[in-house]
Amino acid sequence: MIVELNKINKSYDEGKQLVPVLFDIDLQVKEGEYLAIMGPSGSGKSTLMNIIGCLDVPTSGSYLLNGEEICGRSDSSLSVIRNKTIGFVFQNFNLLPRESALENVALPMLYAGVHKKERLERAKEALTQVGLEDRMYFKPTALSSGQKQRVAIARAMVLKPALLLADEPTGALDTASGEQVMDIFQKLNEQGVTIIMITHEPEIAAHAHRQMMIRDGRFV
Amino acid sequence: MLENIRLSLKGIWSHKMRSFLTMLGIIIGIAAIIAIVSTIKGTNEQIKNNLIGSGTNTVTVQLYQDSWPADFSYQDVPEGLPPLTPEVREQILALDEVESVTFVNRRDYSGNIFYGDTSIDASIYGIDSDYFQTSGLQVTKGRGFSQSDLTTGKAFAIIDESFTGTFGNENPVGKTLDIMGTPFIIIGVVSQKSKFEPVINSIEDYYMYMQNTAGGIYIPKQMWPVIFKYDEPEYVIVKAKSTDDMTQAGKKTQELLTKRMSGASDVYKYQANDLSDEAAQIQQLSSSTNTMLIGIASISLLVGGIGVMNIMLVSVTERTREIGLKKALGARKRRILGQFLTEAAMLSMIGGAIGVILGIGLSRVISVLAGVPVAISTPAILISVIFSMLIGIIFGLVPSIKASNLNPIEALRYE
Repeated sequence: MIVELNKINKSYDEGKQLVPVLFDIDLQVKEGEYLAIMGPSGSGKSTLMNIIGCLDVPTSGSYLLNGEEICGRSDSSLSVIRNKTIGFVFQNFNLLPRESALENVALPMLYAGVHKKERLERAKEALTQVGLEDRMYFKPTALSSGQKQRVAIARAMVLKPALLLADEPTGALDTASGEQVMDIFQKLNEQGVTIIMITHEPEIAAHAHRQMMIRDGRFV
Repeated sequence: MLENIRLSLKGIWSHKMRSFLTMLGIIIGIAAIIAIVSTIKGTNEQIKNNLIGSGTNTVTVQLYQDSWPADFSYQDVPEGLPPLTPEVREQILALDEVESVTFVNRRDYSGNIFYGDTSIDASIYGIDSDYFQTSGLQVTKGRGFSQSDLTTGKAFAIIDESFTGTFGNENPVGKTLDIMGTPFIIIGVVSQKSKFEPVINSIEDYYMYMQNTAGGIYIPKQMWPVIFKYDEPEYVIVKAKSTDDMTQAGKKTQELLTKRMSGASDVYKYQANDLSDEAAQIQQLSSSTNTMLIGIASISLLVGGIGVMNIMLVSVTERTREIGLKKALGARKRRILGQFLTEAAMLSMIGGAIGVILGIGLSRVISVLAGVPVAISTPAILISVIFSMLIGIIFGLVPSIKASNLNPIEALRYE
């Protein structure tokens, strides 16, 4: 089991009162699974994603990632876990605008302590795999949305994490680019990468092997 | 670290105008400090150079009557003033700091010196064989006094180079001077071994250098009583072994001479005119004024530091998303802290470097406009650059801590 959530609760402190967002969430994801989580906005799917991604900590409950308890770890140790185990793909790409595609992809390896020469080699390789070998030295502003998302996927996968988390990966893309992204996800999953994807588009969710629906902080 | 430097340079460069304005406070502060320090150093070096170059480390110990230099031309040499014997010379030479010593009669602005009909305004010195060597003079034309010239008291004179103009294009050697009615034959011309041209900026400078630069006419000591009717030397000139020894050499000689006089007379005393002492006073005066100026310049540095802090806070806010992303990708707190601290340090260090260049330029301009000598101090430059970097780190600390503590999800959500 790569992800194991037991009775996860999350509430936000909105000044005067606690606003509950997630109620007793249980979730198990096996290695190599391809899961889509669907739900309307405000359903708590992004909060759930943040918790799975170790960007946020639950108010109560337990979260085992690769069998290791995540709750109660320090900020620093969560950084290391994110770096080694999880790849992120965001709706709005989140590329650094002043850096080239190559440097963007090389960034996570900087935090992993990989040498510069190797960083660049591996970044080139990752960009080649998403079909952007001729766009390596372009700044994000010179790339189309679809190309940007492919750079982001290359960045997420460059350290070969076991788990890929995608938050509305096609939300800002046209249909053709969206399909390209889905093809890449398909290949990655075939190579054994576990994928958890958030989307509200049923056609996109259909690419996953398992679909779950979340509403008002509970799976339905 | 290298990556941090690269990133921060990129950040600084991408906001050229803003970065420059931020640096301005530091540029002005550092430039002012460099200019002030260079001016102090230049002035001090000038004072010291002039001392070394002019007096060749000599200290004049002079006989005073009450608080005025003793002048035996209007009075008899007082009873009981112990004569300066060869034994005294030996005692002075035995002092650790003293290299050589000479006893001198001297008369300033005596008048009554003529070459033909031309009056010459000069100091007259009655000297012994040690004088030229001790005072750093060398014979440039003709010859110096021989031992027999000195002991038998020949009517020979040696003139300072500054008087050669009186003789036009002719060689002064062999010409006859009329000194207070007695004819003297010029046998040589002397000049200072080390040339120096003091820059006179103030009345203090003038007094200080006057006694070193005033040219003289030198006659054998034995001839002094013939003209002036007394032979007791009023001056003992000692040459110290080094510039730093000058004060001690002067003091010890003064003590030694004064001790011999005890009981002779209450109104007479020997006093050392130590130039290094005067120089130290002048140096003190100029540096205390300048310490104040440095204080004022430091306020500009403080303001510059606050500017750096302000712009770094803006930068952290602007780059909230970037920070969130980096944390999501696995950057630890420490790394984010390092990145922003590096940027603040680079920003102020570049400001400091520009300030140093500007400060050097400024000191050149000061040196030309105000006629003050400047000397660029390498330690001051290094300290300035390091100090400005420290300002960046200190004032960058608050924004950097703020950045490193950002919550990644909130940072990623930030619009």
